[in-house]
Amino acid sequence: MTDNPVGFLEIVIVIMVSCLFSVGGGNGPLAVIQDRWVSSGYLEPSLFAWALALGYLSPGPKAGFLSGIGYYMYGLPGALAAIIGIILPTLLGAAAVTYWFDRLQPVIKRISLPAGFVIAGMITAASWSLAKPMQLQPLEVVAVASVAILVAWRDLDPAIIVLGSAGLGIVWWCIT
Amino acid sequence: MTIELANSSITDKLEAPNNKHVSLVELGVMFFRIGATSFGGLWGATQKLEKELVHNKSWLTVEEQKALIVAATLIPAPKFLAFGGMVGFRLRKWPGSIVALFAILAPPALLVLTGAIFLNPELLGGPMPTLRRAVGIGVIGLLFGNAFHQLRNAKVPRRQRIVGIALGVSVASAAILGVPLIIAALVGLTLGVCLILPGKEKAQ
Repeated sequence: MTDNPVGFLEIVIVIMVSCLFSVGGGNGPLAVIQDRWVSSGYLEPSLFAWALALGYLSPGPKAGFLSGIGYYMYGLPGALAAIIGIILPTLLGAAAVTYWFDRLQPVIKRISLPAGFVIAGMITAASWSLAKPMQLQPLEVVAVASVAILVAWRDLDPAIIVLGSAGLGIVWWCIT
Repeated sequence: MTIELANSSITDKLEAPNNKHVSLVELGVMFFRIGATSFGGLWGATQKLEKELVHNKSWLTVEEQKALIVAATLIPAPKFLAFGGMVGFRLRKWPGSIVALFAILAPPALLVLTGAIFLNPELLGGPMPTLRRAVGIGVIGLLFGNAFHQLRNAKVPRRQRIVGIALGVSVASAAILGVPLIIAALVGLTLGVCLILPGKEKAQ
């Protein structure tokens, strides 16, 4: 667990705000967490990546990784805060859209058009922030590019990426 | 005659969902099972959702399920969760939505939490630094791939796509250069609403 001044309420609020950037199915929470906690030094990049990897390996909604982030930030109460932070806006959004589905459709559609591009920018910034401190070697940059191409054009399952990376990591450790 | 009866039976089943007597326990168990056995996010689970919610339980019609999936992609929340919340709300209003959301999120959240507690990379030596670096490289590639995927999936004309890509690059550049990400994104979103107009998106 990371020793930092981030508390229960901040975790709930940051996760709730990050939820706003999930329009169109984007990974808004990733970018916001990266910006608020990883870049600020409150959360180690390796722990962030580890929680993300665990989330990709788990079944169900990918938002499950937030429980790991919450735990690293503030222990078990932090995990609960993260879950509340993602459940609350989803609950309100789901109920509102179900209730006013027909009326809200034009507004949602209007926002969802540029949202994909903005989310792409946010994810790129998050990826850059993760990559920068790792000081990737040329071969590793090639690996990143290969994975990106496979994911973007072949819809490769994230679990395969994470498992494959872990397998290659173990093989590399055995060799070296 | 038999075929007609069979057809009408199927049609009745699809058009008149049996959602009047859904208990919260039943709803919770169903969404926990979906959360524990689905991989690949909402898109990866669509067939499973149709099998369970439409054919096995008759809680939704096929049309309702499709409409909810589309709506789930449009609201500001993770798609899979939003879908669960909307189904729960349709079946049992607020209590149903709360139960469905917690139930569908419980399996991955508990698994990740267990992993975070017992497989904390800081506590493990040996291959962990190499393993973490390799997984980190994979995750970075995955994120860049997701960003490309977002750009590729935008159903807008060429000119608006160029504007959108410029917008995305601007948001990323601003954030990398030190502008708070939330501000960069909100400005980007505001500009995008003005520049990328509805009604001009490509037909699917």
